[in-house]
Amino acid sequence: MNSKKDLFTSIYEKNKGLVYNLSLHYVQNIEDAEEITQDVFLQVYQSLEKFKNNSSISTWIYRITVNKSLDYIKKKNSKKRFFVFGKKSENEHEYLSISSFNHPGIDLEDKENSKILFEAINSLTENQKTAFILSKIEELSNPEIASIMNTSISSVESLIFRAKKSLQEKLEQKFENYRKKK
Amino acid sequence: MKKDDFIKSILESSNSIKKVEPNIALWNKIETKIYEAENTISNINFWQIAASIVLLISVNAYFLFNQNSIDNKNTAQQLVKITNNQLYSYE
Repeated sequence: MNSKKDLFTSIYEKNKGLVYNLSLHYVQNIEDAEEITQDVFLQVYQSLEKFKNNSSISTWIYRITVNKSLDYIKKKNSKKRFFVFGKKSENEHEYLSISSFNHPGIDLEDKENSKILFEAINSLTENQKTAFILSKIEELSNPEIASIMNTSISSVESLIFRAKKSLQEKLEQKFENYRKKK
Repeated sequence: MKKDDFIKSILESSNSIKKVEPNIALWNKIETKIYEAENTISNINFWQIAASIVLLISVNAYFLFNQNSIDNKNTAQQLVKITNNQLYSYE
């Protein structure tokens, strides 16, 4: 029992930053990221015996964090819909409104640009969003991302390409709106 | 500002995101969650136990009532037999 606790403590110490930062990229909010981090480490503790060394422990933890973050957003979206009497939102990924944006890793001078970027990222599909975050923000290699997402390297390349294209289009729209307002 | 510059500046803002450390108190929250998870019966277990008890009571009740009706049936049949096997007629 003690050895399990010791092992878990060392896993937590090594990976707490990874889990917390990745969940922050998904939810861009301190409270929600802490909630996800707790859920991730609870699952890590409960599944520690089941973990097979087919993949590295960090890949396994990345995978759990991605799934927990996506589940958390889905749960929040469904709660939000419930409170507006079941009215379905136009965008499934819109839970992260600008008002809840509270990413501690972003400096004040970059905050406006980052808000716009994350707003565009939140409108991507789940897979595109995961591939983009892991590649461009976490700076992982395509084989690493493929291993985390349980897919092929070519699929990852395609997801990143489509994510970039979609972001480009969204930002073009943003720019047009921004120019019209001016 | 030109469109391309605008898009470039937004996309490049992802490079400036710094890694942050979680709050120290988070470890205590995780320990509490683990303790709670280890010391409470999960929802699934609770409903499994409840369903097992209901099933056990239903099966018992079924056999109990069924046994009563079989007993009644047997008694009635025996009575008929006794009536049919009267040795003397009083008419």
